[in-house]
Amino acid sequence: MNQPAISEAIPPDNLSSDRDNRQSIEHALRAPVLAFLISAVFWLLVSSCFGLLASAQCHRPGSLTILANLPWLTFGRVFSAFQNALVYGWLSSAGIGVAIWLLSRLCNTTYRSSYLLWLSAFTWNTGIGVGILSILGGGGNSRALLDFPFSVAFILMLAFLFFGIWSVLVIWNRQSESVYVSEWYIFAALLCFAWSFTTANILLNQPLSLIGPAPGVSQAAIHAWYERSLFGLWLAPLALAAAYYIIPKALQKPIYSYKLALLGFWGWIGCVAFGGMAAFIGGPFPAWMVTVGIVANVLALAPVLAVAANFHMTTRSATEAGGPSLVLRFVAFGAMMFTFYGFEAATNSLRTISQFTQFTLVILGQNQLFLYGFCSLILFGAIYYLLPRLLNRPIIFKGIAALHFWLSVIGFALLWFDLTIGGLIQGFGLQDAKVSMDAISDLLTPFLTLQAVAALIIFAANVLFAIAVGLILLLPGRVGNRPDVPETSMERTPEVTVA
Amino acid sequence: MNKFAHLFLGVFGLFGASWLAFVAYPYITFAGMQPNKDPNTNAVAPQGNPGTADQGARVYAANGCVYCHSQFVRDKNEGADIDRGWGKRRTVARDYMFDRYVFLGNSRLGGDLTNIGVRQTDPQWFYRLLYDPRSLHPASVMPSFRYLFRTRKISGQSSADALKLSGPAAPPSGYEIVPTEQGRAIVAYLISLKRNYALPEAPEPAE
Amino acid sequence: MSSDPKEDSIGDVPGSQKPLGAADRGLPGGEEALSRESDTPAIGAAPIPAWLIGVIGFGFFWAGAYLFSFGGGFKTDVFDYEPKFGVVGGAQVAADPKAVGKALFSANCITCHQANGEGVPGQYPPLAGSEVVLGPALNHTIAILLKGLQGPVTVKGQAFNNSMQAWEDQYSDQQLASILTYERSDWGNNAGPVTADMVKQVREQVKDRKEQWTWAELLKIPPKDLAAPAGGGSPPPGQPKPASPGQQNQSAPPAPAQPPAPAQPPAKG
Repeated sequence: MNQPAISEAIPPDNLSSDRDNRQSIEHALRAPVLAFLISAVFWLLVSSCFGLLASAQCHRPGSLTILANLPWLTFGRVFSAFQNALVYGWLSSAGIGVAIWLLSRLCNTTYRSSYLLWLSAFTWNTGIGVGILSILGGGGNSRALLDFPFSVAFILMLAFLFFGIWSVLVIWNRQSESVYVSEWYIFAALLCFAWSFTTANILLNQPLSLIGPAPGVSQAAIHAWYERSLFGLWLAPLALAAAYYIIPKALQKPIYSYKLALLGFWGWIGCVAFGGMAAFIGGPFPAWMVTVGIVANVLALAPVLAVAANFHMTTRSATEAGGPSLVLRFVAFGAMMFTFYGFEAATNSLRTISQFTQFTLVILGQNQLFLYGFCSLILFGAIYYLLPRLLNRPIIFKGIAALHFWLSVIGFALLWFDLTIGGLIQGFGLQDAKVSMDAISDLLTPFLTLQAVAALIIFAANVLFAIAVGLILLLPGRVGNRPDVPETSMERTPEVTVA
Repeated sequence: MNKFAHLFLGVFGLFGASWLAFVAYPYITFAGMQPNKDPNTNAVAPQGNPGTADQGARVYAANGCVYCHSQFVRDKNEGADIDRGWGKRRTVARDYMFDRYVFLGNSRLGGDLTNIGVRQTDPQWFYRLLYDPRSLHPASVMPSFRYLFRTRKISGQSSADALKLSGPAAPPSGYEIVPTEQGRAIVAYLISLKRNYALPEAPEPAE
Repeated sequence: MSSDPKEDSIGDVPGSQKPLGAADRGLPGGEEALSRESDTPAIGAAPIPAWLIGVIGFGFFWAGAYLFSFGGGFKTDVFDYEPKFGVVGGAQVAADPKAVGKALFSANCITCHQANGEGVPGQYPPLAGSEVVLGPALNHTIAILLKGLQGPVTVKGQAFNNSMQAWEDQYSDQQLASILTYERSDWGNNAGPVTADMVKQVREQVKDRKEQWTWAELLKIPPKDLAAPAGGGSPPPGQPKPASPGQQNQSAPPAPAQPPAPAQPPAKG
């Protein structure tokens, strides 16, 4: 009650060597993880700006004539910059930051050096910055999420190499016996991203024509494989690793079932990499390639259901006094969106349905469901979880964080419903040869306007997030101006750094 | 460490299988494709588009056209593409065998461009569309690519590829709007987009 | 005091103000001890629910059936998911000979004879309305196409003196037949089609010739209307055969193979 807002370094009563280890891990990791997380928030704001601009351009392309003369602000380039900043800037950086912390803590490693992480953070952010600028400058490749020129991709590969080496060293020096679920996911993510990113860039983007460019439509096949691997084997595992750690920790309950976790992991790894070709139903590929993609996407429902059942049963009997906490709200909502995404991806792969959803805004909505509804929300929760622990400071002005949650959810829901309904209308129009493209554009106009509104709400939510994070960073120990929130509830003591 | 070894083998094996199916196999198969020789006419199709068309593909890539336009035609069973006149038959792998950049795309905010060179052969139409899409399609959300053109003083007589505009969009008198190198290149690329030859693996569907 | 201090006490909703006592400061309670020993969260040992196993089983069954039905046999050249019976990989549709002929004509012949078949006056003879193309002496027409023609020739009353190359090595019998079929049916021409067999016949007959024809030499070959319905059998080479109605120079025994004589009903009396 009268405890200081920031806990002093009170030596705890019984300190095991494990605890010593974990504390020194905490200490060593603090700066590089913060570097990744803060840069992630920066890229989130950048991508939100681009997203807002891109939706505004769809809404009123004619009125923004001033942009017509600026090649670096044309819709194609802005949209590409938005996607790349979102995936490589925000989601990947935040994911890496969270993964660093999780991996070290779960492995209980003795490896301390963080030089590799600094190198990685610096190189990664430099690469993304140069990449976004070159896309705006006209150096893009018009391949969704493979738009960075090869030189930039090479920089990112280097950054990832540093991070990868660090991870291997952490695992090599691990002390804990068991390998927890989150570690499986992070390990798979490292391996699959390194492999798919390198392969795709060398075969598709490199200018020297050594073994690339891949011949003909194999370019599109490799690209589809890469996109699905990026989503399902890089971003999703990072988010799920965070969820598998935070949910039991927040509820102080064990995860419901080890077997379900196994099924969820191996089933996902086995299915998701094969599902890329479902985007090209009717495309210029042998029938079997697309059919395998459809089957993989539908079978992937099994691991999705396994993960959903696991989380559901874990949270079912846990009641928190006063309702779910902030962190848990984000993580639980994100985990539910993962289930929802699994269903949508499976449904949109079936040929009967894809007739009406292929090429439409529905696919855009599906991607936003994954990137924003699932991954972003879980990573928001993870950052709210990590920052106080890293900095030994409370979240103050929690109202901002709560507002951030509600705006995120409302904005995202509006976006998804708008894109899905508009996309279905577009799809029905495209399937009817009597409906001209002009008529479809007319029908879509209100939906594109609403999309801009949703983008604005999401932008506002992200700004609030940045403010909340900034307040944690910049205003240590200040009492919130809400008298009904006692300091003690935000109190943390050194002992609690253990868990 | 042993558990990580198992983990590595499992992930490597499963992901490797997908690599084999969707990277190695298509690469090897499509590298060995040969163009088709029509036994009746000895004509060879498809043919490559070197030169300006390739530069134009580069401009297409740089401006993100793929985010609204697709470039493949689906069969009658899968979609209304053929009914819309976007092609007489579906596209197959050999149609793209000589393309340095393959922009299949997965979004149709705008129309499909596989056979745009068959439907529109006049560069003026393309220039007009790129300069001011809403003059041809009022509800379109296609951006205006004014930076692919420049306004310059007419010296002597007006250029062959000057845009014929009237009304408020027209340049002041004495001036003309001509495409830049990039503008010409992308239009050359678009005009080269034709797949109107026959291939045995993609018969034209019966009406 | 709550026995499981909320780990995430940071996320407390305002209003649940419990002053944190010693226990809440993270010192051992029951579950807390477990997680204190190792950072790793605990995992239970519940089994996979039966419904999920059912879903997976059904999924595999469905997947197998789907791959079998729509996988195109895993062949590289099957692009359709539901190939029509008997047509796998796409069959070559028989092409219209006129269309094929036009395509072939447009590849080479129009260079001289022009797309409208009018030729170039004084240089290249026309084909539209040409007696060489339309005329009953079809074997001459085919022979010209096979071996070429040089020297003076008169077509439609105009004189020409040029050289046409031989095409026998460029094109097959079927291709030459389609070219001629096309020529005989476009630009106002309206003569019967030419078949590959006819071309084959003539090719066989003139196979010993090494150079281009001249018109005089060509005329030495007895003209034969290969397109005529009667008298279509192949005569021994070189033998005159009264195929043309203008050349009836022998008495006409009433052989059924003969073209019908101008109508004289069999005398009844």
